[in-house]
Amino acid sequence: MLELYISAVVFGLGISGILFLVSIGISIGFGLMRIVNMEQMVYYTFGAYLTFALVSATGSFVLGLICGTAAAAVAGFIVETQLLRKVYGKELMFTMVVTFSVFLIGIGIVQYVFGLASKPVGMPFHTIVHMLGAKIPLYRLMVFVIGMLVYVFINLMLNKTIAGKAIRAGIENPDQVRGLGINLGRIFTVTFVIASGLAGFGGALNSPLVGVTPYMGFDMLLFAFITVILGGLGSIKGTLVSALILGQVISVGGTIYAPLAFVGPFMVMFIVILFKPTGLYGVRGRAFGFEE
Amino acid sequence: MDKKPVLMTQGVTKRFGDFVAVDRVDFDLQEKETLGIIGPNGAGKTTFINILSGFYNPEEGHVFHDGKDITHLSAANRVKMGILRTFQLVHVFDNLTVYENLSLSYFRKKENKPFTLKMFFSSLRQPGIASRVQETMEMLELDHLKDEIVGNLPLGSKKRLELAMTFVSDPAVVIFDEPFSGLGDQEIEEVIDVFRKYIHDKTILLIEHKVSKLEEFVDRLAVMHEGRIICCGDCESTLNDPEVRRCYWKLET
Amino acid sequence: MDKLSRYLRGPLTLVVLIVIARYFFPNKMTFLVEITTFSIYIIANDILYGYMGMVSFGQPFYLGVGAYASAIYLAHIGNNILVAIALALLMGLIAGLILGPAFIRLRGDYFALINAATCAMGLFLVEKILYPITRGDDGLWYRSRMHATPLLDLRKPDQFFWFAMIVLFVVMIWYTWLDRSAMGASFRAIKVNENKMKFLGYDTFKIRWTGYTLMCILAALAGSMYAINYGFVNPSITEPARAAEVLVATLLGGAGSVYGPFFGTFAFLGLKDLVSTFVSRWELAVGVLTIIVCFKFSGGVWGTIQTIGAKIRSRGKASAQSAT
Ligand SMILES: Nc1ncnc2c1ncn2[C@@H]1O[C@H](COP(=O)(O)OP(=O)(O)OP(=O)(O)O)[C@@H](O)[C@H]1O
Ligand SMILES: [Mg+2]
Repeated sequence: MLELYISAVVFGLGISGILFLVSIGISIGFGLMRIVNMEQMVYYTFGAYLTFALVSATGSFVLGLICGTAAAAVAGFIVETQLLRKVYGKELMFTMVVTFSVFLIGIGIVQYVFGLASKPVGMPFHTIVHMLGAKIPLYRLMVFVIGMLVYVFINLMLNKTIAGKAIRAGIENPDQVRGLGINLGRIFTVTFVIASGLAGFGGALNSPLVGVTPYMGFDMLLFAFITVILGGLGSIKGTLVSALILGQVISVGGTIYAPLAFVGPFMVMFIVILFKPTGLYGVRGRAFGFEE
Repeated sequence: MDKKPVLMTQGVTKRFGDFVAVDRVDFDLQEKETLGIIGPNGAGKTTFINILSGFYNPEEGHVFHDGKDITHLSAANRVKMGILRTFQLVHVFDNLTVYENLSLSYFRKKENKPFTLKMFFSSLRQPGIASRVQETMEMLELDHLKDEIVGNLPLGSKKRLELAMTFVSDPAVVIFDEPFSGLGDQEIEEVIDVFRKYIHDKTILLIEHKVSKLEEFVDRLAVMHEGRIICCGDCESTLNDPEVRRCYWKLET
Repeated sequence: MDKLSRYLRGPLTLVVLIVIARYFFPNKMTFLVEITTFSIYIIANDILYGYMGMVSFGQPFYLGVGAYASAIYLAHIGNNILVAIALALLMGLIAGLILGPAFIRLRGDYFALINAATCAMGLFLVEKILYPITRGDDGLWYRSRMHATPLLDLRKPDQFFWFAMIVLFVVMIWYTWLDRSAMGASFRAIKVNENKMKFLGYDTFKIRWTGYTLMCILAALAGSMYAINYGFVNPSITEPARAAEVLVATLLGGAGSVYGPFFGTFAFLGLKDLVSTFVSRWELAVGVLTIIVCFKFSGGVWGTIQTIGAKIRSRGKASAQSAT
């Protein structure tokens, strides 16, 4: 019995890692650019599909991981420079509709190239570690550790590098940064490419666990939404905390009562939102148009 | 004094983080008087109005209306008591016509409820509303713009519209937050004309940057500086007050 | 009398045009009914988005509420189609009253996202959790259980067509009225400046709540019409992926106008029909279409028609002036 829960906790940690990676872009995108980039899951899907393609062609998962991340970053670069630039500063609703369309186009492209059927991706390794009597796939632990490393890395970058400081200042006060003569456009692009790369990386890491289908982005989008809403849009720490919570809710909750894996996250979000409409760590604004 | 205070505050304080924007302000507005508050940028004037009108709750202190404590009353309910305000940055409905803006304002007054399902069944063109709106539009020389979409109007007209939206419902107390800000000289004259016509026998709180435009109207003048009201009295004595001279005048010259 | 005709003229013209279209293209009747039903669904979203400025990525959920309310009644409980429709409206009302207070307090972006999440939940509910009642992906089939209704037999497609026309007519009159009522003006006012509305003394929360509930009821009505017209319902009706269609059709028609939703639906379903004969998957087409509409035709079809109309009129005026 205990083993069951231990392995559920570890599974949950793995899920948290993925959730964090794929949601961070939505959260930062909102904090910095004031857009809700719904198309993040395109990068997630691209990352997963490239991994699938490379693993089936060459058998090398690491190569798939690298190329998946790179392809997602490139896609993010194209979308940002060609389209999103035109929507910064427009009303939130407009940006959501535009980015959602990009998402649909991305799905369309994936369907066109890879077809509709879902496909499995081979695990890079099947190592099992024993922990208090529970058998735990090392891969899931690794996914979690990677997620945490990314968090640490992002924090280091934001706090230690000049570009990072500019990004952080930009999140806190975009006008001020503009006033300092910093090229916000370039900061946006860099941030966006990193965020989409991370989403692609998340997709690549997740592909052996869930396989790939053109609609995988839709399923993940839901969880990514819940993660950022729960954590609070614009907060990196909030995203991490809520990813950790949701991972456990999905995994442990699902072990206790199967439907909780799906309903649980929703319920947690719903309850939190009722009491704190901006999520756990969200700050800015209260409700529609309340900001003076 | 035989007049009674309509609006009164006792020690209201509002902080933003560590910064004290409004600092233990005691203030009163008498019936049928025009009171001006002047003060430099960032003195806390707008924040103070926000407390009076129910936009913020103060951290300390109380707000009274006719002797009743309204510190925690919602904005809509204060409007129901007849306390209306305007905004420093003009607030009108850009996607509606001038007529709709005004009639929406008057409709609430007519029903005297923050919300009623009657809104479904009532046309804004009904005679009872139209006549009053027409009257107000004529007073503020807006009638030729009646069916214009407000978003297309110049700022001066929008400011006048915002004033009209308060006048139309004949409020007991009006708080104007810098009604002249952002306007050109010609437009300021127009607004001043409106005030000349409207302002007697009404209870009014006027916020301004500079004293020059107010002197003509106000019965009393208060000076706000770094969140405090440092002096309040009739125009002349306020302007000659030593503390005002020290804190405010040097900024004004 | 003159006043009344102002509200009747537009809706009547619309319905007459559809009826004429039906007799000219008899084999397109299903398509016309589809447009009618879908445009009611879009009107629902337009109240939310076009009037009050709230984007929801979960509209299929509200459609599903109505569809499943009718379907469950017809499949398990009763046989009366009119009761099924009434039940759907009631469920829409209840959904609006219950979910409203939780949702409309949220900021715009959270609102959009939480609706998407709700929609996914709804799908999961009808697919898995309520399987014994909804039969999951197999869907509910109840055509044979529906009893004939008096006057118009809604089981027969050609009579259902007339029913749809009546519903459209009534909804359009109501919508025209709403547009001109104090409520409609409040909706539009809230969209641009909620604070000002508050400081005019309105309870903006209740106004939003009302609009949201109206949306729920109308969407449920559309869902119920789908359920009865098709004689079966399956979970695909509440699929979150289809939320995009709603936004596209709303934008395509021109948000926040009385006739926008209808023209948007017409254009959208027409294009989809056309596109699907060439490419099998709609996502790509819908995505590209939305982006084009967003950037190039911000007024939508109806907005464009109006601009052209205004141009012609002003040209007419100019020529009349130069003639005198
Ligand atoms: N929401 C807020 N959060 C943080 N600080 C605020 C907020 N609103 C106002 N302040 C600060 O409070 C101080 C007082 O602001 P306020 O707007 O009341 O000044 P004011 O007297 O109206 O000035 P002005 O003449 O520029 O309108 C300012 O320093 C401002 O920066
Ligand atoms: Mg101010």
